[in-house]
Amino acid sequence: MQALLFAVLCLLASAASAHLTPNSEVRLAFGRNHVEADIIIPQGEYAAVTGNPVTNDPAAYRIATAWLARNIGVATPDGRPWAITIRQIGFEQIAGPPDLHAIARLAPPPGASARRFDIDWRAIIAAQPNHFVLFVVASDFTGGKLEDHPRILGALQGRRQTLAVDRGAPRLWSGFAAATALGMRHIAEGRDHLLFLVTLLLPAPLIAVAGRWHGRRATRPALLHLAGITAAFTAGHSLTLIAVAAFGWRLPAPPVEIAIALTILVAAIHAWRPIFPGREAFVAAGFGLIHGMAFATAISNFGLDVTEKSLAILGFNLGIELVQLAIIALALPLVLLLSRSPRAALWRTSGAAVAGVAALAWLFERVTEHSNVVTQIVDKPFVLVGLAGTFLLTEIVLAQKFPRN
Amino acid sequence: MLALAGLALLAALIVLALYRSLEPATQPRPIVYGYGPANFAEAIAMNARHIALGEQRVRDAPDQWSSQESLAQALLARARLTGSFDDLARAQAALESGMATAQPGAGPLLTAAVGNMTVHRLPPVAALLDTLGRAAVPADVDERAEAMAIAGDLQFYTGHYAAAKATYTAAAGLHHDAGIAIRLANWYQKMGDPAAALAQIDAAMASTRAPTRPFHANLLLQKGSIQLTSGDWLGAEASFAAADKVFPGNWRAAAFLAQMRAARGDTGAALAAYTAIPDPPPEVMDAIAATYRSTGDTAASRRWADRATLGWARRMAQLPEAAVGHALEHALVFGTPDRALALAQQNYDARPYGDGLVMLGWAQLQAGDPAAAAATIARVNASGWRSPQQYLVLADAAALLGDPDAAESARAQALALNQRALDPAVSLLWFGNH
Repeated sequence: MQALLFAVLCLLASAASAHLTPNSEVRLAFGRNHVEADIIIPQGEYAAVTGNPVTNDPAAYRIATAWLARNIGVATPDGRPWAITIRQIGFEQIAGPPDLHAIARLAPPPGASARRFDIDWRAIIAAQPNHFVLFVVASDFTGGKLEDHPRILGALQGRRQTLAVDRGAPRLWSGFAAATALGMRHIAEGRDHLLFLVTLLLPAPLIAVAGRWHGRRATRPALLHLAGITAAFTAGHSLTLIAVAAFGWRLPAPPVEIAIALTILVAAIHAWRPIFPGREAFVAAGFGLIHGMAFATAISNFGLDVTEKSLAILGFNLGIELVQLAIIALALPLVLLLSRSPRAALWRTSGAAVAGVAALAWLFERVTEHSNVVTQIVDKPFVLVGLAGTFLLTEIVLAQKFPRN
Repeated sequence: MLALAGLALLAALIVLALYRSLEPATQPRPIVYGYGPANFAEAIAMNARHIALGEQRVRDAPDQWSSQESLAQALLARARLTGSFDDLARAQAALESGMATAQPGAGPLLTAAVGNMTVHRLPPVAALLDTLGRAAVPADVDERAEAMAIAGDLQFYTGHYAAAKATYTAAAGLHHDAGIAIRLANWYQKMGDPAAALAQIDAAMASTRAPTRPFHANLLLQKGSIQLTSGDWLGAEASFAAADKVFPGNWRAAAFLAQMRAARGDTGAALAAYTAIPDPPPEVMDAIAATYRSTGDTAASRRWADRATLGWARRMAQLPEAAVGHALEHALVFGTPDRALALAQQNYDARPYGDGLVMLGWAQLQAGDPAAAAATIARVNASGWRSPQQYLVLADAAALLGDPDAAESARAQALALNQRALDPAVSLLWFGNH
C-alpha cells in the first residue's frame, strides 16, 4: 500500500507552477543634464519577437539599434521628444540566459528638465503581452539616491506602454549628504578596515627594542604617533579612492579583498612582535592604498558629470573619515589605558591574536569563497566592540583586585 | 625565530581547522536497499508483468472489484514512473468498473481515493473516505492512517492548511510512515519553512527500513525541489544527481538535471540531455522549447512548443483536472493571455489552494489586470501560504500599479524565501521549482 500511496505523492509533487519568460530591465542613472539608460532585453525574447539576428557583429548591432530606436520613445510631459543615442550595444551574458544589452543616452530638448519625462516603451511588450519591463533607478545623485541597490521606478506590460517619470527638483546637497551617509555606512559595516586600523594602533604607544615591544612612549609622543598613523592611513586610502573613482577604473574585488585580509594579518604580527617599528605611518599609508581600492568600488559608478562625481567622492570620503575618527576617539583611551597596565603585554598579545585569527579566517573565506564560523562571528555587529569592552572591564576588575604597589 | 615558528604553526592549525569546518561533520550512513528494481528499465519491466497479471485477473473475473483494483494499482504505479496519462486514464476506468461492480459500501475505496487525488479530481474523494470509514469490516490501522492522510491532502488542496496539518499529525499518531513525513515536508515547504521540510524528508528516509531504489530516488528529487525553491541550486543539483545515481534511467531525474545545466548557462548540454529522453512528455517538450527560446533559436523553440501544445491538448481531453496546471504553464509562456487566464481559473476551480491562486495571479497579470492579481495574492498571503512565487506576482503587480515601495517590499520577501528568486535563469527551471 505504501508504494501506491507514494505514487500519489510523486504525482502531486510535480504540481505545476508558473514559469514565466524572462523580464526586460531598464536601469536609469539620472544626471543633471541627461539620463543614462542601461537596457537589458532577453536575447531569446528579442529574437522571438523580431526574428532579427543575435550575433555579435556590426550588421546585427545596426539592426538591433534601429529596432530599439523604433520601439523606445522619450518625451517631455508636453510632448517634445528627447534625443536618444544608443552608445553601446551587444549580445552578452549578464546573468542567466544571454541578453541584448544596450546603453542609451537620453537627453531632453533645450530648456526641459532631465528629471521629468514620459517613456513610451514598445520593445517586446507591444508584440508579446506576457513580457514585463521593469524600470529601476540605478543612481540619482541630485535626488539623494546613491545606494548599490537599485530602486524600482515602475513597470510596463501588455497595453501599459507609457511610464511617467518625475524625480523632483535637483539638489546637489542631497547627493553630497547621501554620499556622506553611504561612506559612513560603508566603513561602519567594513569590520576588516576598522580592525586593521585598531590593530595598527595597538603597539603605537610602545617602543621597540631588540625585536620586542619594551617600554612605552610618553602620552604626548604616543598621541602624535597615533595621529600620524591615522593620518597616513587616511591619506593612503583617500588617494586610491579618489583616483579609482574619478577615473572610473574597474578593479576586480577578490584580489583587493584578499590583500586587505593580508594587511590585517601583517598588522596583527606587528602588534605581537615589532616587524616595522618606527615605520608604522609609512606602512599605514601603503596599506591604506589597498583599503582605498575597496572603498572606491562602492562609489565609482555614481554621478554622471564632473561636479556630481567630485561631490560624491568628497562626501563619501568625509563619511568614512567621520566614522573612522569616532572609532579612534573610542579606541584611543582604551589603547592608552591598556598600554599602561601591568598586563599590557597580555592585552596587546590577545588583541593581536584576535586580529590574526580574524585575518586568517577572512583570508581563507576570500580565497576559497566559503564562509566559516570565525568570519560569521566576526562579521556580526558589535562582536569586536564587545570583545574590546570585555578587555577593558576585565582590566578594571583586575586593577581593583591587584592594585599597583 | 622560535616565536615566529610558533606563530606559523598556530596559523597552520587555524587554517586546517577552517578547512575541516568545510567538510560535513559526519558521513551519511550507507543505505541498504531492499527489494525492487535496480533501475528504470527493470522497474518498467516489472510493472509490465504486474499490469499483465492485473489484466489477466480482470479477464478471469471481470465482476470482482479486487481484480479491477489490482490492475488499477499496477497502472498507477507505471504512471508514477512514466507520467503517462494513458495509464492514469486506464486506471481511472478500471477503478470505476470496480466501484460499479461492488456492493454498496464496498469496493476499491482507498485505491479510488488515491486515484482521484492523483488526477486532481477532488470532489469524489470525501465520499469515498466516508464510505471507507463506515465499512462493515473495519480497515486495518495503516489503511486507516492512509485514509486519514488523504483526508489531510483534501484539506491541503482546498486551502485549509492548519486543518491539513492537524489531520496529518493525527494520521502519524495512528501509524507513522514515510508517506506522512513526505506530506509534512510538502506542507512545511509551502508554509515557507524549508529547513523543517528537509528534516521531514530525512525523517522519511530514516524511518524506512530497506527502502527501494525508486523510493529513495523520489525522496532525493523531493529534497532537491525543496532546495531549489529555497535558492540552494548547488544542493538541489547534487540531490538530483544522487537521485539519478540511485535509480538510473529515470527520465524525471534526467530532466531535473538538464534544467540545472540550462540554468548554469550550458544550454547545449541541457538540450542534449533533454532530447535524449525517449518519447518526452509535453512538460519536457516545454522545457526544450523554453531553452531553445533563451538561445534565440526561435524556429526550434516554436517547433517544440507546437508539439507540446498537441500533447497538452490530448492530456486535457483525457484528464482535464490533472493536465490543466501544466497546460496553464505552457499557455503562460507559449500561449495567449486569454487562454492562460481561462486555464488558470479552471486550475484553481479543480484545486483551490496556494499554487492555484499564485498561478491565477500570474495569469491575471498577463491579462493586463494587476489589481486583480494583487487581490488574488492578498488572499494567498492571508492564508499562511509562503512561497517566493506569490511575492514575485505581488512585486510585479505593485510595480505595474505604480507602487514601487510595495514592489520593493514584495521582492525582499521573495528573496528572503529564495535568494535566487529574481535570478533570470529561473525561467529555465521547469521541474520542481514551485
